[in-house]
Amino acid sequence: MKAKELLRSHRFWLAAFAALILLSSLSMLFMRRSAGGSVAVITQDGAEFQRIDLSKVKESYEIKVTNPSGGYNLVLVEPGAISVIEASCPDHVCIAQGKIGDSLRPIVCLPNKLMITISGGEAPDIDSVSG
Amino acid sequence: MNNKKLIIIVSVLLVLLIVGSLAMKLDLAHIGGEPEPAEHESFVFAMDTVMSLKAYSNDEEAATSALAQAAGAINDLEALISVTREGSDIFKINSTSDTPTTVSDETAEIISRALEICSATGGELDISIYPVLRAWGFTDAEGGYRVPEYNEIKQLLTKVDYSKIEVDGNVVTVAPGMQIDLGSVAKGYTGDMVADILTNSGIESAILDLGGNVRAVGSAPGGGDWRVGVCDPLDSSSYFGVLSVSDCSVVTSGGYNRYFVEDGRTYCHIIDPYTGYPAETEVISATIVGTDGLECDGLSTATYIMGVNKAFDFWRKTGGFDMLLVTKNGNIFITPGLEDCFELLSGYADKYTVEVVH
Repeated sequence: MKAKELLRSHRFWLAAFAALILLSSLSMLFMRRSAGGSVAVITQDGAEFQRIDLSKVKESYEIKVTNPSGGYNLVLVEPGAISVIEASCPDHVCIAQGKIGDSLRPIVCLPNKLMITISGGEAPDIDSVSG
Repeated sequence: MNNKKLIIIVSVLLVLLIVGSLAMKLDLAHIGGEPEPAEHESFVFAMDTVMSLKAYSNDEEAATSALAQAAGAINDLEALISVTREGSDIFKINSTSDTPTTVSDETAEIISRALEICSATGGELDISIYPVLRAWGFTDAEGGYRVPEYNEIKQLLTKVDYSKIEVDGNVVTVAPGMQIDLGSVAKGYTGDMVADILTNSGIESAILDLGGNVRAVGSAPGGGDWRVGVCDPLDSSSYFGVLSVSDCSVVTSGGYNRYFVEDGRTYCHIIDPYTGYPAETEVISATIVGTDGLECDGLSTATYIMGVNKAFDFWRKTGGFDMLLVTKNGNIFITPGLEDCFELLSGYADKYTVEVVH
């Protein structure tokens, strides 16, 4: 069949349409679990200090969070993760907690009354961590 | 292929496409069944830690009110049993040692149950260890860590003896100079207390994380088990495995949670009541799974101190709980009850070997 005839043939277009539908269905199946942005919320003494969509972070940067009594926590914001890298608290538990990237556990600095939680984003594979 | 067949195929695909998009919008998986219960989370700051309470329910009012009730109960309990808070039952007992002190029924109950564990473990758990803990600096939030002199520890150990704590109804008497503290069992007890509050409010599914003490209430929404990770003692921002559990407590004790280093030596906060020094066996993490939160909490400390052989001897003799011990040599020893519900994550196959011990 010559090209022109091919393009005029109904069968060709029906087949092309069928292929398109098949592709769309398949891609929808795989897209079912698309993760929305995971949003990190930093609270200082219960009040929201800042909210960051970690999925939109392209380059890492730092935020210094201070509290009225003079203490501070230095927060590192990275694509998909957040952590405390420096703090004025005596035991540095907040630093030891490392990075979080999902809603499983918050980062908490009790002496400085800082808390970082993440909501949204991909559901973590587990519900809680013992230890 | 003739036109008719092609049209049929295209129509079928079109239908699939429409159904597929509808399914995504309506979440067809749940049509005909209960809508998945919504998650309600609240954070409570108490007992020197942060507690995350996640209740699942479609009754928003019931969930919110139950969580508020739980928060109140946690704060009330802390006021009752905190060792540092003036006016708490424990503070009263400690400041009037050798004198019978009347306390609340709840405090008396917690002390009695803790003493049972002290006795069952032959004193590997001893709730009168507080003065020694303080001498090392572990009770001080400021982290005034120090290595006490041998003679100082020896002296302090004379005041460590759980068998000298008397509980008569709700009257508690301790030996002169003795200081008790319920830190080793408080969170385990609290988990059960909160679980009761939630279930009494009609909430059947919840997962509580009380500063690392996990209490699974019922099963996960949908009926499956809760998936509880176990913290990697060598990298506390990761978990090496998952326990699939329902309606129980999972409590882990590990030196990695609080320690200091001096002159190249590591001293952790889990003190062996026999020696007055930080426990130093091959165990670096002890996890207890069971239906009694207070017991799981106390036993996680005791088995950490006992070491692998003693801990499994104890388990064989006592039973009623399951256990997972991690050693510094990369072994994970588990009781048979955990064989089917513990899963070592594939990324850890090189780091740890799991062995079931009977």
